[in-house]
Amino acid sequence: MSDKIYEAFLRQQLEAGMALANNSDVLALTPLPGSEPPSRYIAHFSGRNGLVRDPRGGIVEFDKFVVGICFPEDYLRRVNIPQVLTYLGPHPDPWHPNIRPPFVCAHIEPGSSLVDILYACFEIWTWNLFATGDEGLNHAASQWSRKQERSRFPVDRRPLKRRSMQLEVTAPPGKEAE
Amino acid sequence: MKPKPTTNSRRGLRARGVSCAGAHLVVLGAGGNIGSQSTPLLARLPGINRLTLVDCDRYEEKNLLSQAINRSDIGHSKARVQARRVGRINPRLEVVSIVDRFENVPLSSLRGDVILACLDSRESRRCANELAWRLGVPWIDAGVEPSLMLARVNDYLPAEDQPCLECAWGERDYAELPARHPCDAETVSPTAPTNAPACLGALAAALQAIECQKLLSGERAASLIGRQVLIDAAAHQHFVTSFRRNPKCRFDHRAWHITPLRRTPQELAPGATLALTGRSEARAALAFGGVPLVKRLDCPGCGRSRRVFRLQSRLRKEELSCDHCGREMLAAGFHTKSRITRADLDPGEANRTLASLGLRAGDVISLRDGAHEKFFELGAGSPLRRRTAKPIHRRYL
Repeated sequence: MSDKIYEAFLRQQLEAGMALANNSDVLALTPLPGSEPPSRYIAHFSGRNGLVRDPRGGIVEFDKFVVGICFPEDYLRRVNIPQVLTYLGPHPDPWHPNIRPPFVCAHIEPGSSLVDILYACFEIWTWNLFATGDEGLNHAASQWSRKQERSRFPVDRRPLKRRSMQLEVTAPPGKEAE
Repeated sequence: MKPKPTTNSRRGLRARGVSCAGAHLVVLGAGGNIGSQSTPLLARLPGINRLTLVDCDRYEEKNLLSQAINRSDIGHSKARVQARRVGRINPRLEVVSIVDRFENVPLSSLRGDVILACLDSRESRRCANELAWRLGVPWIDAGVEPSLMLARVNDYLPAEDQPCLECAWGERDYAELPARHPCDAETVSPTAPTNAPACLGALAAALQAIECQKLLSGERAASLIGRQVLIDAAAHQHFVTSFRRNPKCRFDHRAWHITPLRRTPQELAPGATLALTGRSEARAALAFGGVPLVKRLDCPGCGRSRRVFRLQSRLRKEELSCDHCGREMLAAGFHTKSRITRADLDPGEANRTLASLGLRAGDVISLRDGAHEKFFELGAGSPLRRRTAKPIHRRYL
């Protein structure tokens, strides 16, 4: 790769992205082959934290959300959001104002990091972040969200990154045998 | 005979302070507030024999106050109006007018001795900077700020150690560039008109023509390379600012050494192009000047999709418009390819002509094999250039 700045950026993203995935209970990140360092990733979010529309039209919880992330060669200098984020399923009808397959609408600036993009996707999927106006991709979901009680969101409050805690467990005296 | 890479030999001569006669100037945004003032001045410069004028717009009534035009020009293409005007000033000049966005014009059509940018947005200046660096052609950027009565001009000389436009940019500058969101109902709107007074445009145009003359005459020491002159017309002051090469600049500062191909886009297919690399064909990757190849379009309004196989910037209107809801269809990242290998192509795709992908004569393609990348200019079949007293009009839109 002849563009050193872009290459350094990609290396940094690989390192930071994999570190986040290793410390997460809900995210699995797969770098795709094709370039070294990788410029394409597939992020799998799991857990009962998203909403989809079932074939009967009901809004139900769904446990998987897969998104493709691409960093085009000019990503540090310009952004075309449809080129960066692609909804890859597995449910054909996700229910969210910012998602209409294969598009996901998030705020991304030139050079936004992979970790920031993963957080943006997670916040969208868990309804921490959603467009309530008519500017969303899925107008019906925007309208639906305006009628909901705010306390219902986010759907799942678990964080993307597992919180590390320094715990020291000491058994009470006399209980060691148990 | 083996074709030689088309490096700009005149640039090397100028760098050593040698004058450049019979020069070719390329004016981007040739019909606007600065361009309409700049073009006649450039036509009067000594030693010019060719002018290429690029502008995609047409004159409207509102342009009468801010641009150097007559009422009879309203409704006509800006590039053509200026070409006709230049033809009247200097009938010996070879003038080519191109009615298109310069980002969409084949690279070789914009290869001149100096590129003059009279543009009105940060994004188009960024593209002009990239274009000039890829071709290795010096460029002069002119701009105005009407609210503060400022006119400025910058000179850039493409070289690894020279500052480019983006060397002075920070995170905020990039963040202010227009971004395409899939929820935008329409294409990103063009920048709002600057409504700059014609006199301010004329001031910037005069500065630009002076700097162009200095560059062409080889006055390296007196030229503004790597610097900016800003005139504050309100306070009667002028400032000269020097720029440095930013080692963390996000632009790679790479000049392309382009080898002309005899074969035209109608004669070449992606598979045959990959075969140009010889033994390493299986590893080779073909790219199209940074423009991705789109395999599928989706409608963000109604969700319908359409299979295509064409360069993103060369998609036709009928391909982009959704048959169901009329909204502009978009390409998602996983349905595009910036570089294609043999494995990405099915037999049908491998044998389609490059012309069917939207490539034109003069476009630049590249073949990468590991760390090595070679650039090729697609042939025209017949000579693109012809000397004539009448302006040549090319219309791509």
